[in-house]
Amino acid sequence: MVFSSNVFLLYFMPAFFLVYFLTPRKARNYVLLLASLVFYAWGAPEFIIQLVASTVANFYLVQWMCKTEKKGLKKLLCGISIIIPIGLLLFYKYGNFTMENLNAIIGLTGHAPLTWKRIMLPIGISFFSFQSVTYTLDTYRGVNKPMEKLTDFVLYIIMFPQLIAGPIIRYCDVADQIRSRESTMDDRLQGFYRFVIGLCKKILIADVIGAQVDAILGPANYSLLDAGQISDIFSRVANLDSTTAWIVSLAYTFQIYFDFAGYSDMAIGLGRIMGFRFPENFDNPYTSRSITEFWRRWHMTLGAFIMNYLYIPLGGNRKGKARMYLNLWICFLLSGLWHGASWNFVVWGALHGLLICADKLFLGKVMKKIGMVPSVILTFLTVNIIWVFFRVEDFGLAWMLIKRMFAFDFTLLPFSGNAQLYVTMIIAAFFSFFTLSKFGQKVQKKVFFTDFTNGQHIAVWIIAAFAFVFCVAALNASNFSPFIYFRF
Amino acid sequence: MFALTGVLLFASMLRNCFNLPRFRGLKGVVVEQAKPQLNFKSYSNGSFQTQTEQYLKQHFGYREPLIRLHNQYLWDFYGKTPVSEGQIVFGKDGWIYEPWVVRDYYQTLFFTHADNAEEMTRLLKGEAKRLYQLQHILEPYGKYLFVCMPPSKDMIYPEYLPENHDTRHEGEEKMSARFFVKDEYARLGVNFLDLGQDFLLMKDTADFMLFPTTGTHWSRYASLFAADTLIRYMEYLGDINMRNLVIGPRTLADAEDQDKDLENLLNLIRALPRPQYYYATATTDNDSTAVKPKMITIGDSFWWNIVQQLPMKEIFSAFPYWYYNSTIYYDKNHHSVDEVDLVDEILSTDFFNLFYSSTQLYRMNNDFTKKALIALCYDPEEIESINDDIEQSIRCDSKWMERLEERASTQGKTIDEVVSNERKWLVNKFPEKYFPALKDSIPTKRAKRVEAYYTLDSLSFIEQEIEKVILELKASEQKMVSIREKATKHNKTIDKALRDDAHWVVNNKIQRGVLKWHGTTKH
Repeated sequence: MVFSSNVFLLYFMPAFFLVYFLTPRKARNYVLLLASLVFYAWGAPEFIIQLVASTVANFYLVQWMCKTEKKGLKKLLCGISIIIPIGLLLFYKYGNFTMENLNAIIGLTGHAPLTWKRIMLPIGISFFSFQSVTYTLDTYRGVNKPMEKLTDFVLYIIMFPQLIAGPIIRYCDVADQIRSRESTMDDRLQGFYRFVIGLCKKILIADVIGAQVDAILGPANYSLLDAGQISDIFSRVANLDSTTAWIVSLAYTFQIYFDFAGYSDMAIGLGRIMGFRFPENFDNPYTSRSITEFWRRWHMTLGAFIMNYLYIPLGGNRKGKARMYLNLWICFLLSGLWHGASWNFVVWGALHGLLICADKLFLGKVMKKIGMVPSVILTFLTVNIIWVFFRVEDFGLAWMLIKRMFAFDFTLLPFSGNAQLYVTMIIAAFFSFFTLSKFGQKVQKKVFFTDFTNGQHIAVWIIAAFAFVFCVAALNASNFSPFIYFRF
Repeated sequence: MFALTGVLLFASMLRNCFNLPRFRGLKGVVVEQAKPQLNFKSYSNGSFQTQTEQYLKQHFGYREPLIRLHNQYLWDFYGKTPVSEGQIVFGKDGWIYEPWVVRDYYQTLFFTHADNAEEMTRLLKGEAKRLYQLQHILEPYGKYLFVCMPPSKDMIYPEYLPENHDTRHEGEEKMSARFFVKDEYARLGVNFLDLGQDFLLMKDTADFMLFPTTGTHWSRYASLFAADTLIRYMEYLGDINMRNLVIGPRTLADAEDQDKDLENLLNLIRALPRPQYYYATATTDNDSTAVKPKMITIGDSFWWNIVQQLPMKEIFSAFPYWYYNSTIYYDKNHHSVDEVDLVDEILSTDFFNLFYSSTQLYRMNNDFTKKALIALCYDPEEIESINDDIEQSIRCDSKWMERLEERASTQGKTIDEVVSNERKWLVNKFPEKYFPALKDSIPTKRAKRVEAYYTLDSLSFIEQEIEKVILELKASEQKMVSIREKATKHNKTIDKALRDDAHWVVNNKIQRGVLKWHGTTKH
């Protein structure tokens, strides 16, 4: 189940909140747990049992780990507790990828390929496997005590607002809130507003822009296309003029931000309605003055996870500069691979890793010297170009698109019949760079981080209610295209 | 405030529960998602969830006003709606067209049905030949097949087509079925009524719109004149007297739904600017001497305006409408052409009206002619045997079967289904190869049932003759005395004896060649 669907918006969410708030405070976690199980079972029925079983196993392994005094056993149990979720992640997410590459190598030797039945990727596995790891490691390190109740732990792992696409919530950040939390009327209303903001980002911006990106570049996953369709995409991209190529890449740059940030906003909003304070995941990343800053603002919970559970254990910057650069690069390479099991994600991660290293070596100083506006523009354009490798699964096609961007055969206003695309991109750009100004920062602070007066609540609620209704309309009307009569 | 949020979230569900308030429904047809059935299989393979999403998209509360609201927003701000992107082309002065109509105007529509103009020409020639064959097979039985081509909007009002909509590139092939079939039918002598030509002639003199500005079909009012022409053509073709159409006084009114069918697809809150149109009621002259033939119309949606407006029961004894040779309307006994015994239907029908507008000519009458020719020339046992042979030859070819097995697995079908579909495709593609009798310019082979046609009692033509004889017998007191005697002698009712006598008279006339309903090729 995704948030931007009728099942969630018009049925699951209202029913859940009704039951949740009618239930006595002590039993609300059970309602949330049950709803989360239903939420996940709806989208991944074949995986729900494995998810629950692995979560239960982890809970008892960690309990055992905390009780034992033997250091060796403690380490072993910690290792097993990490291997279970990471093993599932490796199997489900990277099984197909590994076999494809293995068979490609076997093919080079002239041998018959290994038979392998493709496996489906369970939704949210990248997120809940990482959360499971944070629980084990935080408990092992003594940052937090283990959960006393199994249901609370299962809830932490599969809580539906953040189950599918994060934010990745560290155990230590949410453990106390699971045990006890308050949800004031202000929280509930602010949560609703935040949810609607996220819904607008997703439906009114990301989906509108995404439709045009898909029309040029095809769907994100080419495995469902036949050779003819892929060939069509190649010839379409090969014939793009530079203006169109830039518009397509910029459109995707905005699409991915508003899609992902929108989903995070919805998750944070849903959590806040219940009294949870989930960590922020995005902080105006396109206003960054360097790639290093970009990563402090983009998918912040992933950055924190990698920092705490990968970069620091690898040695961080404690083992010399060369090792630090290597560690950084490894982290970004793996971060790329975490985003998707395909070489284009590896290239995307590797490029970011290289630029981070370059930042530390010299680029950061250059960016500081050239001033705010040029550095923001340069960083944004760099990120924009690298996003091409993220969007286009085929490396050759990604390279072709970049070549078209730099072919310098510009035309005036492609997509001339699509004013909606331009208007939406302008709105996206406005909100992406809005906080560069002090006024923008003030507005952001007011909207997201300040309590409203009653009068303000009424005004904002009316806007949010209209936006919610409009999003539901857009969600359902965007592909309502009837015929006069049926044709056979 | 939070309670209000709750009301907002539950509003859709409440609307569905109480079905209040009521809203203007959405126009146009979509494939309806059936209510999903929950069982372990449908849940575990995800089809239940997918179908539920689809079902709720079509059935959530406030769907109608919300879709109209969004469409109106898109229309006001960007001059488009989701439907306008693929199905509507905006012309000058508020005129709108379907995109395939515009493409046909620029003679590029055929590309959606064939790889090149040469292939399209070959296909159209093949279809013209089959029409000629079928027409000549049916004619000796007093049955008339004709092609009737209603006009298309681009043909009559090209001046409102948008500028720069010609997508042809330099040197690109072009062709339009409408021009080709006109010449080809004339060359072969296929019965052909070109209503488009009539409309072009009417355009300069008519004081009413032949096509509505925001509709795709001919205007309701203009189609009445086309219907009149059609009836006169049938009279001429069959050399019969049918009831004449009487078009009543006209009134100017806001567009009826059929005259704004394209606009309706936009599903906006506010109507588009458009003129008022004329409307009139059609009746007949109640001529008691007129015959009421049975006519099957196989065609596209242009027929709706005729069949909905004319007093069809007064003009025809039966008038089934085989919509795209698929769903059957105006026939109590059949719903789909698959349910029909084609030979029975053909033998009980007087006129076959192949009614396709120019953009639909590429559909080759939805294979009616192929199926009719095979059914008329071959016995069911022969057809079955040929089909078995084709399937056998497919199954004996291991490479072919390999491909079909792969297709079966990707399409989730059984191998038998895929083989059967492959056989149907082959027969449809190469009918003459598998049914060689069709190679003749006019096939001489006939199915046994067709050869025995004159002995069938169910013919509407014969039925009408019998009715006439019954009236004559009733008018003669002397003959009625004789019939009463026969009834008493054979223990029958007087009605039954009367009918049997009339039946005998008609059969006798046919066998002696006194009663014939032959026709000749006419244009």
